Amino acid sequence: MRRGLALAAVALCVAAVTAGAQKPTAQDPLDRAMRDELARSMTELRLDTLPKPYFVAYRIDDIETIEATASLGSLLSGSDARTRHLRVELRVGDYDFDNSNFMGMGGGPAFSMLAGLRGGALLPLDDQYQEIRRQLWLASDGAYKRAVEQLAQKRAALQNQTRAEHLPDFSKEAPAVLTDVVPAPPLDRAAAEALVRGLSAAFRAFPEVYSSGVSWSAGVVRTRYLNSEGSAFTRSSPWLVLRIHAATQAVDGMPLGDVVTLYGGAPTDLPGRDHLADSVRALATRLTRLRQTPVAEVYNGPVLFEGDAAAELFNQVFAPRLVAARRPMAANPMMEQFAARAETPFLDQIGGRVLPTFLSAVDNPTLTTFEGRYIGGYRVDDDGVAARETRLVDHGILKTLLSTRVPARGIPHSSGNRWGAAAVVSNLVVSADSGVTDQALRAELLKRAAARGRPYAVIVRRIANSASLAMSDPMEFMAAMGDDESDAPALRAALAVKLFPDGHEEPIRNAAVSGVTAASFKDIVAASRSRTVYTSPFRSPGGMFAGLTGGGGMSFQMASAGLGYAASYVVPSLLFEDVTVKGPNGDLPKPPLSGPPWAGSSPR
Amino acid sequence: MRTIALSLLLCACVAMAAAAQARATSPVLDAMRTELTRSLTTFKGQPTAPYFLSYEISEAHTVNVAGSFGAITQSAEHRHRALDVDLRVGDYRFDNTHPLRGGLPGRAFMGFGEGMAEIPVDDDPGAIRAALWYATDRKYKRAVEQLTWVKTNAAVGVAAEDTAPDFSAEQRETFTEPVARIGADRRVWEEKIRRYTAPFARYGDIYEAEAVFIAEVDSRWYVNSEGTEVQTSQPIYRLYVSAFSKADDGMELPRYESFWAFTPEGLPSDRTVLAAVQKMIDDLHALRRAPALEPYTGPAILSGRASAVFFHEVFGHRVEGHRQKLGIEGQTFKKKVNEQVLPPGFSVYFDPTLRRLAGTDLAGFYRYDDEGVKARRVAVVDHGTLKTFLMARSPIEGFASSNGHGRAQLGLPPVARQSNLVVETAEPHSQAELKRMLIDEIKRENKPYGLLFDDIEGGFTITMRFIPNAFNVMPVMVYRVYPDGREELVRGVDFIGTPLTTFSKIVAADDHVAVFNGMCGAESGWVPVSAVSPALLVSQVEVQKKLKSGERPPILPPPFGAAATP
Repeated sequence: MRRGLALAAVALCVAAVTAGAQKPTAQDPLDRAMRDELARSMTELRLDTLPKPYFVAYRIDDIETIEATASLGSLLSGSDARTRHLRVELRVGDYDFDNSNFMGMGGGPAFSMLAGLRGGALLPLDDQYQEIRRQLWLASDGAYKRAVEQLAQKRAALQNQTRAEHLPDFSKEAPAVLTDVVPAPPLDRAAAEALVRGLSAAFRAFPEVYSSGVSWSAGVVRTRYLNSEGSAFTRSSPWLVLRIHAATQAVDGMPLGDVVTLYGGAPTDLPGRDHLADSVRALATRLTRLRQTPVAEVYNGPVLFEGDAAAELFNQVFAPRLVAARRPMAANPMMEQFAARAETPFLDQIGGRVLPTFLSAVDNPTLTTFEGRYIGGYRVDDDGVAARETRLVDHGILKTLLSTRVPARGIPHSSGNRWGAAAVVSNLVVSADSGVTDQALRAELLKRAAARGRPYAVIVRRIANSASLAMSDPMEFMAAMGDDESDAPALRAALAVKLFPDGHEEPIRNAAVSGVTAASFKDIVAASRSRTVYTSPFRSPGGMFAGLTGGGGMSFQMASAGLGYAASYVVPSLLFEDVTVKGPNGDLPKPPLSGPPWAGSSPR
Repeated sequence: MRTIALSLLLCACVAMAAAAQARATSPVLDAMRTELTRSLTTFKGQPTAPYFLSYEISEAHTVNVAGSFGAITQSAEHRHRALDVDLRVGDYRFDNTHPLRGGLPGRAFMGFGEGMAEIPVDDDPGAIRAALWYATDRKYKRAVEQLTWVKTNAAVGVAAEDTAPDFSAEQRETFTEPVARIGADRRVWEEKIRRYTAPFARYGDIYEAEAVFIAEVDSRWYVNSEGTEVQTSQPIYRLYVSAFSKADDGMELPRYESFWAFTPEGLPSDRTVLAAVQKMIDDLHALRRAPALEPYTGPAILSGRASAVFFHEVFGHRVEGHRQKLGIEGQTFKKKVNEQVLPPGFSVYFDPTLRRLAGTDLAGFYRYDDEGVKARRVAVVDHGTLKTFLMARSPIEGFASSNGHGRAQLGLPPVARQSNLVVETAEPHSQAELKRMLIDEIKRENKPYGLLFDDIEGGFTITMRFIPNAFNVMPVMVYRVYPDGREELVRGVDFIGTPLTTFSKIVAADDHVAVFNGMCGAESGWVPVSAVSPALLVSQVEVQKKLKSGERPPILPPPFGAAATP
């Protein structure tokens, strides 16, 4: 329902480099409460003859946010909020075999009011030792009871199964005490409201854009983490997302929509106000023109994905495969079906070729900018493991995958990529050995199109991210819910053109791109020397399963705080040999019967 | 101090405006009227023109502060507006909202969300009209599609059970009251919430203890094509306190208290709240020691608050008009008009114009409903005989018009809902007499004991919006009453039964009227309601064991020196 829509809001969680970090003091009541209750849980938390926990971790996220949304110069909503969330991760058994990586029958109490069983709790904002400690006590108690029950179920299930492969449940990592704190920029709600009012007013000059808006979401997550192995970290992750969205209908009634999303850690990471106003006008102009543009016809042949489109292609198709997710043990054959789907297919392709030999890819969370542009990152992940660069693809050959402390086949250790419940892509940097100029790439595209007997070639400049669109339009939200996670998702080109042999371009609209799968990336025929820096909401394929089968609860608190996750990319433009581009099927809604009421009125 | 003075002044203004029925200028109403007129002109040229169009814009301006065990967990202020468009094609008799065969509501089936939109909170006519325009266009197209569909559906189906028209024509109304402001200081309330929840912090066997303060101004602007224009604005101040403990056998034991007022000073003093908190703590500890009750049938007294909630749930929802129309509904009372449904001494009326009763502000007070119809008193049961239903603008056989009970949460389409439910008895007994009658009944039926339901948890549904873990409507304070008059607290039962049987077992009532204020949730969302009733003696109730988690209390003792459980 409506509430559900609000929760769908996705934002970026990124952190910048450590600067003048301060160590947590022993006096801090939160740190003291975490330390004291953790020590007690490790030594005393035990039910009758059942095992004690062998691992306990507490994470407290202090989340401050401000949001402002406006349409046509008028404020739709504005808010500021601060909440503090606790998450407990508790394991019984040992590193080799514990209560995690298991899909049981639920089996816990029919319902429970004790917070621990829900995987965490809302903590007081006041720094009161006793109250923080009370919540830690109750949450640990719930987590422990759930863990011993899971372990018993898992042992019982094992009596009827032979395990095909033996993998430890939790990796041993060297304990580390880390700090990743940046001074967070002040959160100014009045300034944000003024900005979105001002920017959104520019749409008044575009009567053919039927629905539009500008929203600002900024905040900071201050995290404290402590585990029983001696690891601890404090981390601050400021974020800022400015979204400009517009939707209309083409002259034939076909819906058109686009979103421009800008990310940063502080307002200074965004372009200046004049530049932002230009972006609003550019989006409105583009959409107004698209209304009259002919719809895409069916095209099979070479397609050049330029800049943002290449990055979004990586984000939606290839990058999710770079995250290691193993198949959990299941309690029964029915669950087995789900469990099988959890595994990343790329686990079997380590050592094999997944990209052309001229391309390599690394993930590096410690980068914060690339060629002067903000991309964000972090120094320590949610397991308390230090972030580092991981060479994923070396000259086309897949070397490893990004991981948490949950080992997968061939990946015994964490790469320091846990964010939330699962591993994520942080900053994916793709480099080309034999990158060509943009000009040469277009020439190559035309040459290949001609060889296929095509009168023109297709360039895709922007691909829509459904999660991003969903935030601005309830109808899009419904569509995104129905999105399949199949091997070849349908990609919507928000901006695409026909390129003719004489070099002139003609725009096309409502183009859907199909036939691009993770497997087709190894057949990329050429890449540009220039690279684009891009950030977009990232959906980790392991997220859902990690939440269900992990030692902790689902990170629903983060979801309820409206926080999602976005990954950054540095990628060249990419030329694919065989792609299908076509217009949509199905019936079209009619255009509105009257023009908008503000047509002709001047912006305030 | 200043805040209070200011809001008092404001209330005086409100009252004056109400008395004068003055028509002030309202930029929101103006924008709505302009766009409504333009829309009708646009659609006039279409083959299927609307015969009715209405807009309702509702605004919720909310301050809320939540705390737990003496510390603040949340403190926020929020303001937003939502739109509901009702656009109808066809005519009053048969339109696009006609129920589908099989008894499903036509309107809900297709086009969910079509007439909804987020509306700017700035009073900017251009931006407001833009949102109205786009939502109206979508709604219109859907309505035309729906009409074709329901026409075919009606043609191929058997004759409808209820032949009433789809929509009632209503009188034109105009009313404007100024938009109220919130008279509560967040910082003051943060301090109060800390103080109210601090007493719980001494105990290690109370696992959740929360207080929530919500100050809300609910403003509504309504315009329709029949010429009605209404602007209302009502501040509401609410305070909820909830806590739970566990018995040694794992049973969850909750306690709730709620306070409700139209002015900040209408809420109880700190002393009263703290006394209620202490009572909650004492009750929880007593419940922990109380024996679990086994399934039982026999006589019982429902306290005033318990009876009020019982009537709201069991009776009130069954006299909501539109439920008599749809085939999927139980329609307990549909064919019972002018028949006796309660003992002859009992009457039930709903009165949204009542602002205060028995020293308490009534949550179900309003001047106009969400379809622009003027609120009025509706006598539903007169001396035991069912007379009418609660009506929105959806007529049913024998009841052609609305009686001002079309209500909705902001942004949702309204249906018939309750307002202030009042149960009256012609022959009130004293509390002592009622207990004596219970004991006589126990003896007559040869039962070892009877029951006293002191509080039913209607309050549980109230907190659901903020604590997403509510499951049940259940009695929390239940006593065994022995033939010698002794009372013993018990725990762990739900009150079950069927409405008609239970009503026929009502024997008598006392003279002690109690008020229950709460939020009621149904298909048109959450609306504030009130229920008022004396205590009732029922000759036979049935209780069953309530669902409990098998989860034991925490393994380790509290990590602080907790006060000993008394």
